[in-house]
Amino acid sequence: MTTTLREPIFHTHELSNGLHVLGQYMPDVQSAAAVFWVDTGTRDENPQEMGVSHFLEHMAFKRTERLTGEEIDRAFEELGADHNAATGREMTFYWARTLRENVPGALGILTQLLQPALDESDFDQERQVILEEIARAEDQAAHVLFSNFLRDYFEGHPLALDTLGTTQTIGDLTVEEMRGYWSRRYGTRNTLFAIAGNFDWDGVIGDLEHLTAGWQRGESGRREQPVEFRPGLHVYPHAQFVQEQIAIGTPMVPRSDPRYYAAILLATILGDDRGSRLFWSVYQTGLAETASAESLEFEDNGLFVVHIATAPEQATAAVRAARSEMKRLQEFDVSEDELERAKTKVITSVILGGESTNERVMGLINSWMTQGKLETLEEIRGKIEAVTLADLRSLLSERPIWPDQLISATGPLTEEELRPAL
Amino acid sequence: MDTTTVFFQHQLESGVQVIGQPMGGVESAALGFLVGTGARDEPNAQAGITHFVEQMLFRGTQRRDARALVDALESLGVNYDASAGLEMTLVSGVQLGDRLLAALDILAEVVREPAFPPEDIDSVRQLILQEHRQREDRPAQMVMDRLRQEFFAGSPLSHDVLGTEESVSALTRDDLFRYWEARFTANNIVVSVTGNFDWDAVIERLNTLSAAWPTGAGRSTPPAPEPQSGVHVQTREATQENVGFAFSGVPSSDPRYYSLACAIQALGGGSNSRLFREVREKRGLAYAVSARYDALEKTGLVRVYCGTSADRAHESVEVIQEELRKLEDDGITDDELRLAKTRLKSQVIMRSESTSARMVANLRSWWFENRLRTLQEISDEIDRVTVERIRDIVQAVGVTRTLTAVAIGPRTEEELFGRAVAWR
Repeated sequence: MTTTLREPIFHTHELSNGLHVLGQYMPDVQSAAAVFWVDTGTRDENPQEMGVSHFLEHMAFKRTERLTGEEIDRAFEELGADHNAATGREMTFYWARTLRENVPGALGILTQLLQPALDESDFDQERQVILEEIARAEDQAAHVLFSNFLRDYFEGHPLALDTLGTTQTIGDLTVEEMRGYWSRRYGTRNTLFAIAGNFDWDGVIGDLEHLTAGWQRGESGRREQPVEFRPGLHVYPHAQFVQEQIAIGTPMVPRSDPRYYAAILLATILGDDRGSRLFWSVYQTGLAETASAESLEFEDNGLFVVHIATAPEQATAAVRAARSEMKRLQEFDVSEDELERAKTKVITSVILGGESTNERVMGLINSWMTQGKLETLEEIRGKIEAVTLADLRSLLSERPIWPDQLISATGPLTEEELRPAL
Repeated sequence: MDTTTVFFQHQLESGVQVIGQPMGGVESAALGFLVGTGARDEPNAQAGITHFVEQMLFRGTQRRDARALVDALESLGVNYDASAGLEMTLVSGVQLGDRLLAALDILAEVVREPAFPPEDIDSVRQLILQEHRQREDRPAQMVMDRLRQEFFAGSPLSHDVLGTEESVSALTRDDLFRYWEARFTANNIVVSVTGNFDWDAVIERLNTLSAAWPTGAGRSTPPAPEPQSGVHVQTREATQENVGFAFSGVPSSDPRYYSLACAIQALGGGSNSRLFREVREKRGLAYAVSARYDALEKTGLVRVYCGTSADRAHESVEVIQEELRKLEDDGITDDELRLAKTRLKSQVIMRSESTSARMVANLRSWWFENRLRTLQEISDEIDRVTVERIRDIVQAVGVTRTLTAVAIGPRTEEELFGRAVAWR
């Protein structure tokens, strides 16, 4: 990895209403990706309002102070923009990508989305769409697995709440509750704006200053709460599904932790989709079509997750093979060479991602949220290269992935049928 | 330099065609080998053989076993992939520009010197059979695949890339090797590079690498499309009903391609489209509803997809059918056309910013249309679309005249479609 990366052109600014604005100018592209990132999600909801963050994200596209839903969709279309929004347990974002000349137009619409009208008749109508989305998710085996798995892993913690909510909570939710949630969580102290690609920075700042004038500051952050890890086996038989889906979880580090890259490298070594230990011993041997590992980070905690999807008759063998790889990694036999290859993979993906406006804009947000500054790809590369075998070993001793695990399964098998795998 | 207008092309002595497009401001180079073979070229008894061969490619070459192969690629930081489709097979790698030649050596070996290790045949077979089952748990994907299979029933274009359980169970190492030997030949391969590379060095290296590559029968004759009308309902336990419709399109080499693309954009391309507005926004019948258009070598296929609650599936079906009839009878409005053009042009430019997306786009364009087009040329073609041309093309393809419907979910055919399945 000798290529020297060009010094990036970064910008940061705080608007008079307190909103932070981040930018990276990329002179060789014609497009720019822009994001409003709201530091709020399912974990910030009251349990009886479960799903309000996601439902609210839908409502942003139904009507704003000035635009109807149809006008919003049309306005994006006029700009030729790609656009989307997403909600998670700790975040909600609104994203658009457009050509340079259409950036001001995109800012006009995105800022509107953050100030939704939250009209009651729209609310009742969109509730149907949310219920359809829940129904759709119930037919997707991997979604059902992770919903069950995270609910059990985070039992008693707000991260246990499911992003979509349930037919019960969505059915009971009122527009007043949603308005209250919006006032609380959508202030400028809890929001970031970032843009990456080809744009005029002074123009962006001028436009945003004007477009967001009068936005309230609201609250920021969230209360931290420790997670109590309870190892065990939870099996959810679903005769409807053909394949068995299994998740194996153990505690890992939060996203701002200095050991973040060590955790990423451990996941890469164990379960990257090519060339990892699970790839060789579980996928390549034909035991499971999916066998992967990832480090899943939240603000104040994180977890290490192995995911397996396989034919029911092979599930026992696949889980045994995956767990024995976890045991071997815990006992620690990683070589310098294996670590180097994992670093090369992670660094290459960081550098290649640097060419995409979409990936860069998310990189700016992530860097600001975790480091409080904009990190260059060179700095990130330095952090990855600095990780040693001793770092991996000490992380594993502080956050063991073996033998205590929470295992969750969804599919045709029952607990009696799966227990022999342990 | 406006790098979007520079193309290189060269035919090596071996018969391999090479195309290249430099891009400024990027560190990466994307590399792809297109092999002109896919599921449509398979005999029925060997359905799924292209995909099986593709799955064997990274299991080792005549020079190194799978682990040495993967280690070599990973040490270089090559983000590699392979995929088998209906009409082509692709082996690709994205890496930093200074690793391109080394990646070229290894991927050429993967394409032309696979070892087909006998001990791996059965584990790959297991994985493919699992892929079949995994698809069963993804109803949206099942509907899309079934739509094509039913719409082209009787033609090789109906072939399932994954094959059938019977054919995959019966394939032998010898079958795989012979298929590879016949199809992965110099005159059936195109290499594409985009991004940060030295063209002369690429050609020199490929000349050496491909010197001994044999020539085979080469490019296969595309099957003539045989579109079918029909309704296919698979009743099974599920929360939602997944419904789809398919009708004909034209190939990307057809001058009417962008006219149809604009029509489908207005019908179901995003949240401003007719289907999204009518099915989701006005009636709340579905979360996912959309239309997509895929061009094939000699034909094309438009598919509409909707995942809707079982109780209201019948209503969704009626609304979609009505929109299809309207499209066929009246085309789209001037205003819709203007928006569709803006959207398509913008998408073309934004996608071209990625070295790998452009590498694949160039391969498709070169192989299926025998040309490479600049962004300006594409933009001009889009600008030439008119509402009259759209009316002509939707009537020519006959949106509801030859229409296949597929549904997977709890409802029966009668519950979904009523007794009158005749469309008009």
